Formats: sequence, C-alpha cells, structure tokens
Amino acid sequence: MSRSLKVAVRAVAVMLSAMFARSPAAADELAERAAAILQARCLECHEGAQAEGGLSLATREALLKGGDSGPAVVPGDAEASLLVEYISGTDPRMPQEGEPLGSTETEAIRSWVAAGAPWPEGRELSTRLQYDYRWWSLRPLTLPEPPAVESAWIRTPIDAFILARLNERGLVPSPEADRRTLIRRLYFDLAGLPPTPEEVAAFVADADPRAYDALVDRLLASPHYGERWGRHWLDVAHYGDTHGYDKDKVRPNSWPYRDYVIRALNEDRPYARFVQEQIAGDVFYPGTADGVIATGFLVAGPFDYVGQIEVAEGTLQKAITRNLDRDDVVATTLGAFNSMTVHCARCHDHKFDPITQQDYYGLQAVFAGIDRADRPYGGRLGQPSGVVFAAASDFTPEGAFTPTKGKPRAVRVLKRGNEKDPGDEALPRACGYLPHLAGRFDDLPPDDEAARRAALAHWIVDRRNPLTWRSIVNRVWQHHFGRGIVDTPNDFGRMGALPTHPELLDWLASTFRDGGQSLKKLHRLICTSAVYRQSSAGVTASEALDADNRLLWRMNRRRLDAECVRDAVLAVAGKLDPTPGGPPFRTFGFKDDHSPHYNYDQYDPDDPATHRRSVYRMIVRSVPDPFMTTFDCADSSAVVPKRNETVTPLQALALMNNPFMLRMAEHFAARVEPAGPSSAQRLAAAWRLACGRDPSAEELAPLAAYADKHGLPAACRVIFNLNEFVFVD
Amino acid sequence: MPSLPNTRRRPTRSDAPPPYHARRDFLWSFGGGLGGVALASLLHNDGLLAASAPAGWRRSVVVHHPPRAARVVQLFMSGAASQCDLFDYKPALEQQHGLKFDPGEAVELFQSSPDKVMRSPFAWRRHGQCGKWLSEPVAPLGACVDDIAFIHSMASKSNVHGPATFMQATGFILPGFPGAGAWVSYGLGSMNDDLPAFVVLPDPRGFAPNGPKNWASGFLPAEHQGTMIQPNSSRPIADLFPPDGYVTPGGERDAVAVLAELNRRHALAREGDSRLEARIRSYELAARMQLSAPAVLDLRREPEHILRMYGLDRDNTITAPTGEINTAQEIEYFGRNCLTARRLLEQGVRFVQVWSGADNGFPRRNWDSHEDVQRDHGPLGRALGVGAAALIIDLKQRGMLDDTIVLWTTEFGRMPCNQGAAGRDHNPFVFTNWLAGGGVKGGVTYGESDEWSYKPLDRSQPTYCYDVHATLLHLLGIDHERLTYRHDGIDRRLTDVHGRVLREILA
Repeated sequence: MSRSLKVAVRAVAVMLSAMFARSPAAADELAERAAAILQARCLECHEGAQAEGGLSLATREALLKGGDSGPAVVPGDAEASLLVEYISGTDPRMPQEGEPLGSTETEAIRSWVAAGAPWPEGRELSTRLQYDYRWWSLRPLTLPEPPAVESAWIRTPIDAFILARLNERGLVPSPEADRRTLIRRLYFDLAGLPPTPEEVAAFVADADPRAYDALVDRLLASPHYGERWGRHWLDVAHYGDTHGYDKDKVRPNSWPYRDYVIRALNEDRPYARFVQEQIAGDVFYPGTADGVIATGFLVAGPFDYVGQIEVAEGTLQKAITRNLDRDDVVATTLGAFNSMTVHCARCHDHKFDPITQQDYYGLQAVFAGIDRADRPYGGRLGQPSGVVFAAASDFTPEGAFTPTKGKPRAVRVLKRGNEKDPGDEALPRACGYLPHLAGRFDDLPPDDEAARRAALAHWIVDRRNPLTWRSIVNRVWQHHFGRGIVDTPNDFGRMGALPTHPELLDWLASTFRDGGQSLKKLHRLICTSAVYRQSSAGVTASEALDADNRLLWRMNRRRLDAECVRDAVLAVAGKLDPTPGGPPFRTFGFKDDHSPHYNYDQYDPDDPATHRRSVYRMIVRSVPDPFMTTFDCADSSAVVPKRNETVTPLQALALMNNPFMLRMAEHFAARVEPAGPSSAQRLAAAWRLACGRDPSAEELAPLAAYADKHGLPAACRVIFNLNEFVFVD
Repeated sequence: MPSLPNTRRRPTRSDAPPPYHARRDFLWSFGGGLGGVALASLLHNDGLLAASAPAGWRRSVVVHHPPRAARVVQLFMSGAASQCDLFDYKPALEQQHGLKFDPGEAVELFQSSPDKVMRSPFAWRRHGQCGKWLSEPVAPLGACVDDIAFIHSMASKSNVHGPATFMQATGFILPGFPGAGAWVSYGLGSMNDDLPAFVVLPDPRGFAPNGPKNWASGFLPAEHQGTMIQPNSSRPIADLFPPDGYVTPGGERDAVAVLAELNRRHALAREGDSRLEARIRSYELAARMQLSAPAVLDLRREPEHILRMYGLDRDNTITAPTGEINTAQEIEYFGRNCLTARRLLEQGVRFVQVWSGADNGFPRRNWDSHEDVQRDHGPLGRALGVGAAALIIDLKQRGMLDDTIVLWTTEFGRMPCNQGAAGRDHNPFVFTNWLAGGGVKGGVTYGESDEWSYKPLDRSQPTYCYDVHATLLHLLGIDHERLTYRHDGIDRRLTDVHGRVLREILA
C-alpha cells in the first residue's frame, strides 16, 4: 500500500471511530478509542520503567497504580481522575509536547473513565513498533542471475537487469548517443572537466572498436578522477576548512584528509580498507601516515569551538555540546557506510527501523574516547609527515577542552535525548538491525577507545553486513546516472525509497564485494554498459509510461554541479592550474578577528592560486562561497548524500555578472583570438572549447555579429551562459 | 508591476546627489537603467513578460487553513538583548539591587559566577491603553504597545551564541537547517516576479554569529535561501549587475537577445526537458529583478516625513562607524534597514529578516552586554525603539499591518544579576519575544517570567521558538506539523517534533 493511501485509510478510520464514539458506547469501543489516544499522545513519555513522573499508561495496572502524583485513573469517577484533570481545561498541563487534546479526544477519555475504564484483558500498549528485520536492505546480500533476455543492445550484465524491467513495462531502451556526446559525458562524469577539442576530434575519428573502453580507462587513470569522485565522498563526510558556528575559526590542518580521499580513490584502495582507515586507520594500519590522516573523516563536520573550548567541564552546557558532537560523528559514520538513520534514535527508539536508544548510545560510546583536534602523522622512513585535524585522544589541551588520553568518557543513555536525564551507562556496540550479524562487541578490553572503533569498523566491513556493500554501489550508481537505484542514498530504512532494481543492486553489491572491492572496476562496468551509453533525448511514448525515467529508458541530462561549473569555466578560459593537493586556496578576503571575516567581495579572480580545481578551495562553513552555493554546492555543515539540481534567476545573475565569470570571459576571448582574424573563426573555436562541437551556421552568425558590435569578451560571456555549457546530455 | 506608493524625491537630492550615491554603482543609482530599462523594452517587444507569468520563483503551494497574514518581518537582535532592561519590568531588581542573587538553586552561567541582583540602568514608564511597562530606550514603542503581544517566558536550549542563534533562526541548535524564512518561501513561495521571497538585511557592520548560515536554505532547494541585501554597500545585491563599464546598455540588451535565441535553439532540439525552458525564463526573471530591486532600495523616493519617522532625517547617507557607540548612528543603521524592509514587503517580498548587531567588534556593536548594559543597550535600544515603532506605524497607516507579522526576537536573555560592574551574563532560561500585526492580539502579555526574570514563572511551561514558529506558520495559513521536507530519513519541520500554536495571542 502506498504511503498516501495508508494515510488516507488511517484518516477514514479515525473519522469512523469518531462517529462510533458518539453512538451508544460499547465498552470495547470506548477502550479502543482511549487506547488510541493514550498511544498517540501520552505513551511517548509515559511508558515503561523510564516513564516521566513515574507514570506509565501502558497497562491498566499501571494506570491504577499511577505515578508520583498518585493513581491516574479512578474507574467510574472521571472528576476524581488525575488523567482527566491534566488533559482538561483551557491551558491543560498535558500533553507537554504539541497541541492540547481536542475536545472530542478529551471527551473520549472522560467517557471511558466514567464507564469504569474498561480494558481488554492483558493488553499492553506500546509505542515500540514491531520492527521488521526482513526489510529489504537488512536481508543478506544475494547474487541474482542476470535475467535471460536476448538483445543485441546488451553489453554487460547490468543491461540485462535494466532491459528486463523495461520489457516488463513495454519500454524500449534508447539508442547509443553520438561520440561527441559520449566523450563530454564521460569527461564530466569521471574527471569533472570538459574534453579539449583535440580530444573530442581524436575520439570521434578513432576507428578502433575499443576506443570507448580505452577512453574510460584513460579517464579512470587520470588524477582528475580522484578529484571528481573524492568531492562526492566529501559531501557525505561534510568536509569543511573551518569549525562553523560562531567564531568560525579556520581549521588549517583539515586538508590532508581531503587529499587522502582523493589519493585513496586514485589508488583504488579496496573499499574495506577505505572504510577501516577512516574509522580506525590508526588501529588497523599503525605507523602509516594515512592511518592517522584518514580518521579526519570522523571529525570532518562542524566543531562548536565556544562550547568545547570556553564552556567549563561539568556544566550542563558542556554535556549538551559533547552529546551533539558525538551525535554528528555517529550519524555521519553510520549514514555514510550503512545508509541508516541511527541519529533518529537519540531521543527515542527509532520509530521505523530496528535501532534502539541502547544501540544509538552504544555507538556514541564507540567514539567516546576521541575528540576533534590536530594530530601529528607520519615521519617514519619514507613517510610524509605533518599535522592533520583528525580523531584525537591525546593533544595539547586548549581552554576547557581536555583530551581523554585514550580512556573513553562515560556515555549514558539519555532519556528522551535530554542531557538532564541520564540513564544507565551505554556499552559500546554496533547496531542490532542485522539478523545475521550480531551488533554486540564481546570481550572488548575496558577503557580502550581504539579497540571500540576497530570493532565497529570490523562490523561494518564484515561481508555479512549487506548495507555496507549496497550503500557504496548505490552511491556510485547515483553519481553516474543522477539518481541512485535507491533514491535516498543515506536512508535504506523504511522511510527511505525502495530500490527500482533490487536484483541489480544486489548483483552489483555482491560482485563488488567479492571482486576485489575496486571502485574503478565498478565505474568501468557501469560506464561501458549500454544503459550508460544511451542518448538522453526524450521519447514521447516512453515519457507517457515513465516520465521520470526511473527505469532508465534513456540517459539523464544533468546540470553541472557547482565545482564543474567553476572548473569548466577555468578550463575553457585556458586558466585551469591542474596542480593537485595541498593547503586550500581562498576565494575571499580574510581578516582574523573575534570571529574571522570572510569577504567574498574582495576576491581577485586573477589571483593565480585560485585557478586550481574547486575541490581545493577553502570551504568556510559560516560564510559559504555565494557563487558556489547558488549552484547547489553541498552545505559543509550537513551531510549531503544528494545535491539539489535547481535552475534559478540567481544562477543567471551569477553567470552573467559575477566578477570571476567576467574576468574569465576576457581570458577566454584572449585564448581564442589567435584562431583567426574574423569573429566567426574565433567564436567557432570558443564554441568547440565550451561545448565540444562545431557551432552550426545559424548559431555562429548571431554570436559573431554580436562580437563584431560589442567585442569578443562579451560574446565569450554569452557562451558561458549557454544552456549547452551548463548541461551535459 | 505594482507602482511604488510614493516616488516623490526630496528636492535637495535631485541637483546634488550626496556622496553616498556618488560612490554607488552607476546602475544602482539610476534604477537599473542600464540593463534593466533596456531589457524591459526588449522583453515587452518580444512579449516575454506576458509569457513568463507563471514565474520561476515558486508560487503559493501550501495553505492548510485561511491565512491571517501574508508577510513576515523578523527583527533579530544579535548578541542577546536583555529582557529586564527593555520589555520585562521587574521591580524586584530595584528592591533587591546589590543583594546577593539567590534564586534558591545553583546557577550555571556562561562566563561568570552569580553575584548580586542588579537593577536596570534605565527608567521605566507605562504606555498605551494596556499600560505596558517599557524602559526609556525603547519608549518610542509605547505608541505601538496596544498592537503588540509580548512573550516573557521564552527559553533557549543553549547559552552559547552560535547554537542559540541557530535555534531562533532555524529551530535547531545545530547548523545545517533552513532558516524560518526559507521554510516560509518553500511553503508559500513568492508573491511577485521581481524579487526573491526571502530577503535578509544584515547589520551593516557585519554578520551575527553563524553568518549567512542563519538564513541558508539547508536541505531545501537553494532558491529558498535568504537573499542578502546590504543597502549601504556599493553593490547591495551581489551579482545583480556587471561592474561599471563592462558592457554598454546596447551590449547588455543584445547579449540577452542572442543568448535567448541560442538557448531556445538548443531547447528545441531537446524537447520535453522543462529545465531548459526554466533556465531560459530564469534570465527574464533576473532582468525583472534588475529593474525592480534598485527602485525598491532607493530611499530617496520616500517623502521627508517618512524618512524622519525612521530617524533618517539628518542626512540620507550612511556614515562610517565611529569609535564610540552612539545613538544617532545606531538609529540611522537600524532605521534604514526597517524602512528598506517596509519597501520590500510592499513589493511582495514574503519574509524580511532585519538584523541588529554584528558578531565582531570592540567597542561592542551588538547586544552582548557582558561589560556595560547602559553603554550598549542605550543606543541599540533607542534605535530599536525608533525603527521598530516607525515600521509598525508605517505598516499600519498603509493598511499592511493587518496581514504583516512583525516578530521581534533575540537568541536568549540576560541575567538579572551583575557581571563585573555594569554588565550581565547570558540567560538562556528566560527572555522576551514580541509579535505584532497579522492576526496577533495587541496589548497582551503571554507567559510571565519570575520576580527577577531569571526563569519562567511556571518553570514547567517555558515557551520555545517552536511555539513562536508554530504560531507564525499558523497565521500564514500553514499547519506547522504538515509543512515537511524529507531529508536524511526524517520528515523535517521548522518546529522539529515540538510546537504549540499560541492561541492566547491570536486576535
């Protein structure tokens, strides 16, 4: 049943029950109605041993026994019942959260009490859902056989899975795109840059049947591959170069982690190692520089500098700051590697997925020995050395920010997520959502924070953890096609989307897990498929059946993301500096202060340091680069598994008028000026650089006339604003 | 485009533009004449303005019940404005002045230890039919108290500026969530084709803690982010125009025409992709913004008596901050933003956020009076009194107060005891908000603080931003529990899982 249908059915049910409540009240109807109200509005706080005010409303016995203020219900006497008193009146004391009960609801409770508070024998209300451990994403990974469909269109097993679904729906796959389209698509997809006209010409003219595969291999071998795909991972890690919040201080040593991600992808490290390094590289690979640097993942998010450094130990504010700080680590880690929303269990057991508060605080306990701080790395023979902002347990104390020296801080289960209401101590553990893989850590040495992280990393990369493998192949698929097989890349739970091609997802995940865990192999497999090579052109008949193209009867046309826009402008203008790595460049004027100033009006677009790829720019959390933000760049304060892809008037203004764009249009003009004496020759060259093809006569004529009248730079500015420049077919 | 209510210029301005305008970009001074006017004629010639009627700025989509209000202006006092020195009169502070502050429990403060009860340095007086007590700096608001509902039981979940400012601005103490204005833009969209739905006027001296993240769109689409306007900058809206002399008016007109032609050709070959059409239209909408924004921001179009009302009667210029915080300058800064806000609202902007106080700066230029309440709250408070009163009166006389909500807030309050000789430390336990207009009952107080304004009188019933936001959305016709956006597994709301519509303050 669809979600909206369920809602509708529930609404009808509520209406019906309201109608029946007005009819002569049978005892069981009164009981049902009261139970529904108690369950919906009261039980969240008043259930079980940890109930607020010592009052549980889950059973009849508990109602009669009552809480700190006495019995909740006196059967038969509504006026004497505290429950009725608390929910009645113009300013009722209960419920504390949300709207007061409506008069129908209040009256239903009153009538139920007056009728003697009837209650079905042995009934126990519960807000805890019956968790479904057979949910698709929690089931063991399988290796389905590719469907037996015969077609000359099929190039890879992927295509068989796709074609089978298309056939079912009476859809026809699209023909292969032309070579100019394919090379531009592959360049932006794998390297994040446009191909040069020479590369396009060579590929178009290449008669070798393996030319396409060779191009894919060449791009995957290019250092630009890591820069492009590393950025996707940094969105999930919510990487930034400042702390965020107020006094948004520069974090000068975060960039080694950014470079690690790019390096690890370019070296095609097996995925399990990539995971282990980022959670506990210092434990798994002691003595290696990357073992320390990679843990920058855990601390890549915002840091409440004032709350951590200035607020005294032992205060409530400190407890709040710590709780939220660890919440960020837990949510980021499990979201990134398992696509589960464990953070929903901070205040209560997860309402939809099998994640208890015990699980959640157990995960907090895993990270209870680390903080976000600078940490030295490397220095051994042949190793690079330096300082990285990473997971640290031993560092020079600053203000009220003291290291744990490896002994984890005690983490308590917080009732309703409230720091003022700590419960039992939480033991470090992973989640219990996998029926085939226990989430408990047995025999952990006490007070050894490193062992806890190592245990979690082990659990995540266990081949029996199906989420890990489904999650990563889905991310890769998403960036190739614009939408994942599961459209909610960080939520494989019940509130997330269902996979459009569950068998394909499992086939990819199993193949990936058991075939060396090579991301490059996965890219190659996808990029060489027929489904990837399709044209993106619309087909009326197919649109009628699947307007959203969920079944991939064509390729998706994509708007360039923020980094690709900026990098393509630099590349086309002839200004791109491909130097990799190192400290970030600034696209703003900087002045340190109580809170540092980040002034983007002071950016000089001719500063050569800023002509490097956008992945190397300095990301300021409190004052993000407005140009990039306008193009839906990821918010470095939040985990962004999927960016928006909007088209807005502010984007038009940015491309038309931003000083960077205008200066680059001038460089672009200077670059194409030698192409010939006429505007037409120069602009044909410019068009080839920007769009990867020759302009038609109809396209060239008005542009050349424009240049003759208003100058070549102004015409190059127009080219930067073309739909064709910012979209990839 | 609706005509501006008053385009009469001050006579002294026409012949001798003040230095402020002379410094400004040519385009800005002359109402976007360059690209704008030329574009307008072009668009009219092509019939494009008519064709673009269902515009790319999002239109009204979510209304759950008949709205009482259509617009919001939020006045945000950054640094934590003191409730007991502005709006929440506490005779006990007079009576107990100098005595040990002892509320009968351990008091956890941000920077200091609780010392002695400290009276307000300001005189207090009753105002209006409702008899509301106001301190001397904000006394100009006395003329409006019968239109205002005060909430004196506000509480915050953090006593650190950054998280607490996030909470009042976005409903969460963590970064990464959309500002209230972004939610309203997402829910209701724009009322005009010329300007964004959510506009932010920062303090001219700089940002509040967290900077522009306070009005970011978070996980909502980027079009809902607050568009920042800095009226005293040479470029009040970033990238609205190219720099001076980059293109001629003819060059701009022709560029847009050539671009439209080439983009249309491209789209024709790719039928069925509405984004390509939307992008062509986005240039038309950008042109409309170029036309309309400079006119809205040109305060010279206001008559003398209106300028005087907002405290802008000295000279219509912005002066650079001087060393000492002083009333005249504060009035000028805040008044300019208040008047600009009114003009934006008049043009159909849905949500305007006005900031008072910048994070940086010693001498202090915000409400964070750790050292000296009188020194900061005096000038800032008077500017607030003048600007906010002018805004309310002005909206009222134009018939706009009926469907415009004025919301005054700050991130938390200040302690009733002293910090140092004359300052007050943070008080997250209690502070004040007030609302006026748009379906709000005037002349009332909801929620009391205790005898010192240390905590809510009823400690079990604090009012949170959730309740204020729920009320705000309710007045706009939105059920706060039903305006949601699925992000990372959760149907996110402005009010998280909380919020109660404060029916007590509804008219």
